[in-house]
Amino acid sequence: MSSADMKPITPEKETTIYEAPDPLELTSTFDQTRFTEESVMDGGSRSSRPVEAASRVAEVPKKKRDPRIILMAVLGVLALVVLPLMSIFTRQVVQTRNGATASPTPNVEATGNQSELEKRLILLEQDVATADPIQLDLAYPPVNFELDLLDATSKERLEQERSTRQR
Amino acid sequence: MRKAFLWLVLFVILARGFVAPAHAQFETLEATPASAGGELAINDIQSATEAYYGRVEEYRNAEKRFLLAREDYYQQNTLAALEEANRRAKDVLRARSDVLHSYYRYLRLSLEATNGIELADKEEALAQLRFWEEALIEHREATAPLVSRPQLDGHLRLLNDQKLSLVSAAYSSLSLMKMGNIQTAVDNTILVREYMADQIDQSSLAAAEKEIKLRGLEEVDRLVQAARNNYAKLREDYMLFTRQNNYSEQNYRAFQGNAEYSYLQLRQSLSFLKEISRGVK
Repeated sequence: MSSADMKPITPEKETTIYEAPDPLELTSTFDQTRFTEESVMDGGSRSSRPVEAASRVAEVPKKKRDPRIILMAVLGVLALVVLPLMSIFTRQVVQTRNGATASPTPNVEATGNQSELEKRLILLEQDVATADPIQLDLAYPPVNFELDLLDATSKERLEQERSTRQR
Repeated sequence: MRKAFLWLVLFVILARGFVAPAHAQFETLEATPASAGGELAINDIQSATEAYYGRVEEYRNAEKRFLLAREDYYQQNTLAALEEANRRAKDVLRARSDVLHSYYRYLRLSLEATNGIELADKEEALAQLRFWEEALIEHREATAPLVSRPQLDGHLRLLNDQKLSLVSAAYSSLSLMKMGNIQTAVDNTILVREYMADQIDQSSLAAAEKEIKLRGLEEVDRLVQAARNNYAKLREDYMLFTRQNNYSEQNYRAFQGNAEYSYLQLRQSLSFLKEISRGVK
């Protein structure tokens, strides 16, 4: 082996010289929440590592999600679930109010294979059911026909107050 | 981000159309004239009913706020309290006109769609309902320029004085609708009875069986006649109270009780007709 073949031995990686940190800096960067016993158990390797350095190692580039997008996604999912349910519910309420589902009378169209007489009887059944006078009506508006706005010191007003107190 | 927002808005718009077809329908139908009979009339009545429920809620809230504001004014007697009471009085005036108007609209549409009513009675009742609808719109519009307490007080009392006539128009219309329904059921019972008699006559049933069925039809005739007699009495009472323009809620309840006899007789005749129809083709 000639001297020309010999390559100078160069370190593959640049060695870094450990510099003792500033004691004041240490107090802020060292993980002070760890127990001394723990450092004994793991050979004291981790306890001596500054927290900042550890976090740098674990740092993986993460995409920060916009909270507005998350909020909108949640709202979208809620809308998908709630709106169809509301639709079903409101339709049922409307039908019940108008007696469409409450009436037990059969539907003429649903029974196509019936004789003329049977069809007439079914229609009559509907007419008789409609003629029930106790059927629920739309109630008269619950309005107050005794509203007024008197002068606070008028005789009429004071008499009103007196009579209410007596009652 | 913007795209997502636009998608969400689009979805909500589409979903609204899917959820509330009844309300949307109401907004469009409110402006269209009511047609007698058919699906449009049913839709009109349905939308008027929905509108009425909404107005009732608005009125309840407005009345509650007005009574509180008025009490504050009576207790404190300050100008600020008076102003608030005036503002709330205006709100309750509008809400009261609105709820009453929506109710009379519902009554008119329902009456228009009801068959079996004597034409003269129907026209008279419809004219009354139209009158109140217009009067209530005018009453609401007249609220706008009112500002002072005496003006608002006068306007509140104006409607109070009309209570009897308003109530009478409403309950007499309801009675008329019930009478129309009874009349329709009576007419159709007679038609079905006639048709059934023909069918029995043409059928291949034994003579004895035919005789039983015809006796059954005689029972139906008696029931229908009783229902008609009762109906005539109902109409008499109706005419008496409506002429006096004093058809109260009490009158209406009494009417309902009496009309139930006709209804029960019709139901019984229907039951007999069903029994008779067995074996007849």
